[in-house]
Amino acid sequence: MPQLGLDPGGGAVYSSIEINGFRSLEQMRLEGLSRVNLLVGSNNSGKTSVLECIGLLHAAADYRVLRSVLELRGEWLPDEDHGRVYDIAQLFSCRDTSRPIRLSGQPIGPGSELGAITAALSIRASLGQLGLPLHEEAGEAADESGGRLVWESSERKRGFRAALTVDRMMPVRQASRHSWGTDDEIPRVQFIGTQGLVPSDIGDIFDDVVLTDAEDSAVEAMRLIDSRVERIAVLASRRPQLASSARGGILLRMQDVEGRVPIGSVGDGMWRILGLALALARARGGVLLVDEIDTGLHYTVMQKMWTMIAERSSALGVQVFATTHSRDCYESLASVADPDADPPGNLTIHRIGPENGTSSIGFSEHEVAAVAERGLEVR
Amino acid sequence: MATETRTPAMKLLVEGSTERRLIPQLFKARGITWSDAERGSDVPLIDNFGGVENILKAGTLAAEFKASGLERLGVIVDANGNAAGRWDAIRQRCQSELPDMSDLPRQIPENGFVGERQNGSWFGAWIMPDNRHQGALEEFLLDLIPDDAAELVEYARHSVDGARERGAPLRDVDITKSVVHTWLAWQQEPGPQLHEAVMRRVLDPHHPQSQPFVSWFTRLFWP
Repeated sequence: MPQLGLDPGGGAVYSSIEINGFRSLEQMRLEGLSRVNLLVGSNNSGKTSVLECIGLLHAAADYRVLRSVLELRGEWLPDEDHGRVYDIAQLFSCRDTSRPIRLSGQPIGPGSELGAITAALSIRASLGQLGLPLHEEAGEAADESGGRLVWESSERKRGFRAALTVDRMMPVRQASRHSWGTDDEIPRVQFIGTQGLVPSDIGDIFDDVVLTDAEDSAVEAMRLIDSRVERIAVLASRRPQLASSARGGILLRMQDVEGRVPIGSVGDGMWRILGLALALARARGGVLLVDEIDTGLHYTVMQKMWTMIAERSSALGVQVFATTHSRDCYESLASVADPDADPPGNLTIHRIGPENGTSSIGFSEHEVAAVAERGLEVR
Repeated sequence: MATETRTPAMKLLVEGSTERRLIPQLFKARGITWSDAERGSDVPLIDNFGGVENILKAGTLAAEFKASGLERLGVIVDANGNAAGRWDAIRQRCQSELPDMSDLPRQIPENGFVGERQNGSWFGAWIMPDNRHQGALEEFLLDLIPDDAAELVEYARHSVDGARERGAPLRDVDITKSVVHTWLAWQQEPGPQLHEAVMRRVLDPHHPQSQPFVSWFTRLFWP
């Protein structure tokens, strides 16, 4: 079996992933995964769904990851009794909640001897519905009229459960109450949606990494784009302003530049890279998911971005999955691929699409290099 | 949104620009309309790889096959000193990169190889000049010289030998190439390029010796 070039950054990485019954992905298998994986395919091919599955697989039933999935898609409705409810039936193929979603991944590297990592999401009848006594301490409420969402993971002894309303909606507050991920614990999965990170996200992530090695690592990443960057800071007094979309309150110190430089003045590319660099740093030893990674980036910056991601993900033991529709994006990845890498290498491309049946088409790193050299179309 | 340029459905990988220009002429002479291949075109896109080492580089065949929309892929390489050795190199590349193509015949069929892959795509290989003998494209073209020119060809060969005896720095492997070009230099319009020679029928595209190659090409791309 081909081995990834694992490094001191450590962290197990998935070499293959299998998905059953999630959204449009009735069945999907991805093989030959590596450290950095770019998912390509036509619109509606299910690229974003694959990212979500990897998140739900690796999250160890951490509610915050499920919340990101539902929030990024806007899959919630206002509700008179509960304020807001999540439409979780959307997650199930054909909205058929009687069939569980099953996810499994084969890791390689440290800890992989424990075997496949699995997760399943299902909707089960509540004990109340079955006429059995309720266990309040287990989080079973009397209003479980629609059954319960149960999210199990091989990575956590007891999974996530949430009561559903009669029309199978998951009240936001109800779900939060049963959250297993605490805010002290950094989630194992970082998810950047198509809109990129908003200033408040950057502020939050910065809080997690400030004065740690991860902060240094983020600064190093920024230096790959502009070697003059020396320090990043988020002004505490401006935190409330970060909630708005303006980029005020985040400052850079740059070599040979007088005074503090507001990040808004150094361009969109830098903003996107800062988001990626911070998310990579926070994902240390885990998984980073980025939807439409090329948004707002010029081709010349994309090459630097891939170099940065390849280097930092390896150093930090992060496995990266990103999507794109853009030729510039996969060509820029291909241009930094090593034609002599042993398969699968560290930079791979995977085409997702119904035309390929139930498997993705994976390009190992030396094939990715051939893509660049020959100008091949991989989407 | 990015432009939807797609891989052509049919592609032929060749070693050099001579093949890329000559092959369309062989088929144009047979009444095939040959325009630059795009998706949906009836003719393969001929891609000049600039040397056999690039065609047989790790990752190339696999990546070409995985490119979206590709249905038929052919490779044409020169035997040079050893046709069997060239075929072995192709087989080994297939074995390591195309798992369903790991049991190719030990010897390439005399009329070229064409095989179907598990996913319904097709792979073909031809080793110039004829899958058996040493040589390259020029050995193939030597056979397309009209039969009534045999005496002149013999004289061209004699001339080349004479030139070598007088110190011409020609290598052994290039003798046939030199004979073909010497003979072409003596035509009414002297010294046409090889594809021009086919276009003007100085070389005979319908010569029976071209038939095995034409059949292989037709089996692969226009079954």
